Parts: sequence; C-alpha cells; structure tokens
Amino acid sequence: MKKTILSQLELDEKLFSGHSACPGCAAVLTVRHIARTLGEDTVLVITASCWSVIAGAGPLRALDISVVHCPFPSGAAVASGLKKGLQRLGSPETRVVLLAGDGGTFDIGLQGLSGAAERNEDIIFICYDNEAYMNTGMQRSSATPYASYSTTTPAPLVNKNPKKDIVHIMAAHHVPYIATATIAYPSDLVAKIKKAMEIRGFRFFHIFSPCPPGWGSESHKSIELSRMAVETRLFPLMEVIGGREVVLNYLPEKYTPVEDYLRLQGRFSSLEPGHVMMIQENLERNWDYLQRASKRYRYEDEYWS
Amino acid sequence: MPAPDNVLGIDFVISRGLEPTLVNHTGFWRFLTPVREEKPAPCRQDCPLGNGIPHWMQKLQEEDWSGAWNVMERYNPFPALTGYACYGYCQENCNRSFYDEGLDIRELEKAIGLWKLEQGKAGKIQFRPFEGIQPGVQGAAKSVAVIGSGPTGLSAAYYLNRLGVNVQVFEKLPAAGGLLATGIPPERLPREILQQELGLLQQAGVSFVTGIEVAAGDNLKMLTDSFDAVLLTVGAQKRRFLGIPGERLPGVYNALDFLRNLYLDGERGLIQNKGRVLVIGGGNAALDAASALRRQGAADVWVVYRRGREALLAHESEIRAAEAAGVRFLFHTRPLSLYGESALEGVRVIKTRPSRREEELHDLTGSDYTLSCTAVVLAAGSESGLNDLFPQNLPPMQPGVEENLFQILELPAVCPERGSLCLAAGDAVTGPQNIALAIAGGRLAARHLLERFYGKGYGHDFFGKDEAQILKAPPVSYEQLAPHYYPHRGRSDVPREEAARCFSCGLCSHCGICWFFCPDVAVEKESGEYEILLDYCKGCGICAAECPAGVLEMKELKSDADAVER
Repeated sequence: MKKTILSQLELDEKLFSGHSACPGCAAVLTVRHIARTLGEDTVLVITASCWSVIAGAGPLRALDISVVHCPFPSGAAVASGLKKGLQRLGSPETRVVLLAGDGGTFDIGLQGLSGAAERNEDIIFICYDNEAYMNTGMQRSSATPYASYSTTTPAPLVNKNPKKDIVHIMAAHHVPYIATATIAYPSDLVAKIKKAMEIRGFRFFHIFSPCPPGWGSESHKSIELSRMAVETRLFPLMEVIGGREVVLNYLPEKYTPVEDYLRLQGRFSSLEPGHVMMIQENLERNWDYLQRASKRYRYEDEYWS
Repeated sequence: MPAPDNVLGIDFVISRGLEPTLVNHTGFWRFLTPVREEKPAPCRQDCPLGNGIPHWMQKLQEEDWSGAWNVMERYNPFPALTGYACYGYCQENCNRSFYDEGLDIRELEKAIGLWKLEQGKAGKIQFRPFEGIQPGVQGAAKSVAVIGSGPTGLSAAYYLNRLGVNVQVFEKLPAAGGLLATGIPPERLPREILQQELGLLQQAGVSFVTGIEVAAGDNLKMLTDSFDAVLLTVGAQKRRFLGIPGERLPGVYNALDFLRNLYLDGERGLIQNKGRVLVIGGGNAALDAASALRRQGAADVWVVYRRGREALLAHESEIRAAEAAGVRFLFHTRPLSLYGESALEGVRVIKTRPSRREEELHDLTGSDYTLSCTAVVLAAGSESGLNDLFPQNLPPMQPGVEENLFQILELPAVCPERGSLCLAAGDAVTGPQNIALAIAGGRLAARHLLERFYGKGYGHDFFGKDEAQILKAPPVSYEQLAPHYYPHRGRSDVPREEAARCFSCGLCSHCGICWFFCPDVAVEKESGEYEILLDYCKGCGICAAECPAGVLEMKELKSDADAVER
C-alpha cells in the first residue's frame, strides 16, 4: 500500500486547491485520486451533484482535465454521445468518465444509466454515494439507508426504506465490470480504477463517500467512517465481472459492530435499539449471501510490507 | 475495428475554465490548524538513556546499518552491551503491544551493536574525531582521567574521546569493565562482547591503566595535577552491613564479592558448600548471587527477604530467572543475628508482618526461630564509593546538573591552583541502578565536561540540541496513532522486518498518508519533507486523524505564523 500511495506521487495532480468542497469531503478526495490515475486523456462528465459546484463556477476550474457539465437525468446519455463523437473524430482512446452522485445514479439518472449499460457503451460510470441529495440540502434519495435522518424524513419519522442495491441492479445488466470501493482502502481503489481502464465496455463504480455536514459526523472522521463501513460489512469491497462472477476483495479479520459506525453520525441520533438490531441482521444476511455467491480472495492491502 | 479518421475534419475541443481555483484562498475557513511536532515515543520515554529508538528504527527499515549506528551512537555508544545486559525498559509500554505484539527492541539494538563490533574490528567505522568537531580550535586539547571502568566510565570515555579529548581510564582491578565484568553473569553478557567493546575503545585512542587504585589524598591530587579534569565513576560498590551480631564470622560472604570472585577468578569455594546457603536481601545482587549459586551447582539455596515477592527490589526478569534456577524463597523474614563458635552455624530469624515497600516494617513478636545453615551471602545493598575518596568535604548529594534521573555531581577541586575539575557520575551519585542509567550518566558527564572546556553549545552537532526538550512532553499514546495501515504480524527474526513493525510513534516517517488523504491538496512534498499549505488547508483534520505516527495534531492557533513547525 505504501507503494500505491507513493506511486501516486509520481502522477500529475489533477485537482487544484481552493475548490469549494466542504472540509473533510470524501468525494473530492476520491475524485482527486481517480483523476490522477485516469490521467490527461480523459473527459469527465459531471451530472448535477455536489461535484457540479466543486468543479468550479466559471471561469474557475478545480480540475485540470476536460469537464462537461450536464443535467441530472442525462449523464449517461451525454457520456455515450461524447464517446461516440470522440470515436468519430479520431480519438477513440480518450476515456469518457461519468461522475454522478447517488441521486444522479439511484434515482434521477437511473433510466439513462440502464440504457447505457444495456447498450454496453464504452464509458466508466462513477457513482460517489453520500447517501442523500447533499448539495440541495440533504433530501432523502433511494440510497439513503434505513433509519437515517434527512430533511425530507425528519426524526422521529426517519427513513423507513432500505437502501437500493445498485450493484445488483447493474449486475442484472451483465456489464463487463462493476466494482465497489472507498478511499479508506486506497490501493484497492487505485487498482480497481487501473483494472477498469484496461477493460472495454460499460464499467460501473459504486464509491462510498462520507459527507460530514450531511451525516452530522466530524470532518476528520471521513476516512474512519469509510473504513468502518467496510469493517462492519455494511459496504463490502467487491467486484462483479460480467454480471455473474462475484469477487469479495476484502474479508475483515474482525467484524466491527454496526452500532459503533452508527453512533459516530448525527443522522442516526434518533436510532432505537431495534433499528440497530435490524441493520445488523440485514447486513449479516447480505454478507452471507455475498459469501455464498463469491469466489473468495483476500486483497493484499499491506502498507509496510 | 480500426479507428476511423476524423471524417469531419474539425478539432474536437472541450473548453476549460480559464483560471484554476487556486485564487480561492480557502485557508480562511479553518479554525483548527494541523501542527507537526516531534513527540517522545513510550519506548524513548521509558529508556533511561532517552534512546531515540524510532530514529534508528527508520534507518533499519531501509537496512541502512551505518545510518542506524550513527543515530544510535548519539544516545548509546555500546548497543551490544545494553542489547545483552539491559532489562529492556523500552519494551514495557510499546504501543505495538496493544495492536498485536510489542517490538523486540533489545534484539534490534543488539544487532546494531554486533554490526558495530564487526565493522569496528575491520576498521570500517571511524570513532574519532567526530566530523563536525575540530579539536584544539576552541582551545588547547584537553585531557581527562576517568576513575573506574564500569559502564559510566566507559561511556564518558567514549564520548570525550569521540569529541576530541584525550582520555585515560584507571581501574583498580586487573581487568577493565567494572560491574560488567564482575557483576553481570556471563550468560547474560558474554565476556567476549565486553572484550571487543574494550578493544574498540583502545583502538579509538582511549588508554586503560588497570590494577591501580586511586585513593584519597595525594593519589587523587596527583591526578588532578596532571589532567584537566578527573571524572570519578567509582560506582556504588562499598558494602553495607546489616548491623547485627556475627556478620564477620567465617562463612559469611558478601554478594558482590562472591560474584566478582566467581566471574573474575573462577573462585568456587562457596559453591562446593554442601549445606544450606542463605542469601539475605531482595535486590538484583541478591537474586543474581542466588541464581549463580544454583546454576553453578549449590544444592540448597534460599533467599531470605523481609517483605513479600511483590516488594522485591530486583527486576522481574531476575526474579523469574532465580525461580527457574531453583532458588527457594523465604519471605516476610528478617535475620536477627548470625551465630557460631568459630564458623557460622545458623541464623536467628524473626517473621515480619506483611507490608508494602514504603511502609514501616513490624516484627511479629515471639515468632523468632533458628535456621541452620553453612553459609550466608549478604546482599544488604551497597553505597557510593565517593565517601572513601572524600571523607571530610563531600558535599551533600545535590546534583550539579540534572536531567531526568541522570545525575552528575560537581566536587570541590582537589587541586585549586591548576583549576582542574572534579566530577562524579553514574552509580557513585545515584546509588546502585542499571546499565542504561549508568551509560546515561557517563554521557551526561561527558557533555558537561565538554561544555565546561569549550563553552556552551559545544557538541550540539553531535548530541542534538533539543533532545531533552522533546522528552519532557507526555509520551504518544495508542489512541493518538492510526495503526490500520500496518498488517497484523507477530515478531520477526529478520531485523528489517522487525524494524518495519515499528509504529514510529511521535516521529514523522515520511509515509505520505497526510499528503494522500488531503482533500484540499494542501500538503506538498518539498525536499523530502511534507509541508502543509496553510493558504488552502480548510482544517478538516483528516491528516491528523490518519497520521500513523501521531505526529500531526489539530490546534487552535491565533495566526498562521504560530503554525511554523516547532
């Protein structure tokens, strides 16, 4: 892992300081390293999301790669069209990467996403999931977890629906490559991006991305929360290849109880013991299912080796 | 499908914003500022030498042995000796022990020591003088007489010699080494290691005079007359008695004498004793003597101590060694008198009420009885040898310079007309301690003498400036670290792998985590060091939370100027 981190030093920085993300934003950190890994020959399509703001209101730019902004539902369509246009104009190697929040993926962008996946367009779809419409004021999305507070599901009537399983929706489209990742496991994230760059066809990333103001967590806990989400098995690091082959990348040595993770966040402050039990049971059932479905292998994520 | 040509003949351009967001100085959002500060690791805090363990661990990780030795030398000139004979206080509170298994620091220290001995023998390391120092520039070359060749004397001699002073070491016994040769069992410290260290010292230019005892009066005056300074590192070997009848009977021995005769001359008279041997006392000397007796074949050895096991003064490892050797213990028992006609026949003892070490001792009246034995080894403690050298005018034990526990004592000049200094250090000042503290005493005495000779600040290039300042802070706790980046792994025999397990508590290891995890791209690597750009840092605190070494800390500062690294 030390190698991964230090190898990133050699790549050009694609994000400028002075962008307008909140302190402790994990999405901006994730995109910083994804952009470095993708390199210069990339067009980034950004649907309406926090990143529309972070990337800079004109004439400023926070990213040193080409960026195309587009409306909420049309992200996948714009990216598909761009890719086709680039191929037509003689730069078929230019990567088209779509960056969308959970709203632009789980809810509003879903039809475009489904269409592009079905057509197997040659684009990388990156969903950074902060589990609500954070940019517009923390409204609930279908990625908002069960029993979480949002401004549209205020306490005590907290969100009653479980989170949508986007990975399995995408797996049902039989796309070449689906991966989940989080910045707390950098070598895993970077390796998956590099792997996706080698693959042709539709590639989908589901990236877990804590949001300190929206989640009511402390800004320095972003990485810790990401790590805990994996250690509790709430957000398993996995890959789905060809929509069939499930690979669990990381099997935690010791499972952290989900309560430790929930207690760090203000959005779960009205949680009752019954909720915690249900969340724990649900994630264990999910984990059992994944373990049965997967070819196991442990990702070598060793820093000082 | 081959890539089609640009059929339309136009360039495809996606415009970019004109100006990078660098014009937004987001630093003004910040209300907490990350500050990087070197802090003491628990190992460093616990080591009597204040040994910069994480510093040389970092060198070992890269298998840079000469780099590791150069760092080690500043704190401890004899890593082989301490690697073998120190009790390893550094290992007691290692933060890694909360994660999987504490580091085997002593083993690595020993490895550096053995490397030094090997390289030194081959003439590959330079011992004198230190590069940054030019002897004679600040004044005429100075000379120092060191009285006593124990660990304190040797370490003072090493540092003085290294920094350009002529050193002569005087030893009253025929062999140099002090307690290292006469007190520590060869199983713990192989004698050839000691001989090699002494050989290297001689090779470096320190001269040894053995078999000469320096006594009070003219003898000492003569020395002060011919040297610029006399350093008394005579140790604490003056025997103390219990003050009970019968202590001078034949058959009563002293523990230190017994060990010295055994290790130096191979004297085994006492061991062949077939009867019961009582060792009276509960310190390291008592348990060392008892273990040695058992190991050399004495049949029935008892340690008689007036308090319980938990109050024993000896180090835990010594107690375990004694128990393993088959020594038996008689706790809560105090000798009243030793009796016998012409030779020792037995000891009258009395039971005592259980008490802690700091409490007063109470006998249980009427519980006295007689223990028969053929020999008694007294280990009732020892005191500084300075009292013999200065019978009249020894100043009260006020340390001249104090730094943690290390103390040195400045004594009245014996020869005022020449203005030569007279200094005492080591066990002679602190009372019986351990090898690491003794070496620390020698080091401190050497620094003090150098500053007296050449002015304040001399030798800072070598010893480092604010080492003492760093040690004053509280040690880095496990909670301050972020150990997730280390794989769980037990101890390893390979030095590089074992050193790689070091969390480097309190010392930046240039891992790049702060740079990697900064969402604001406000950490920059410049000339090997990671710098925080305060113009852009929003103060989220991720760098401080994720810093594996606990070096970064979020602080409320009045202005950016305060954030300049301390």
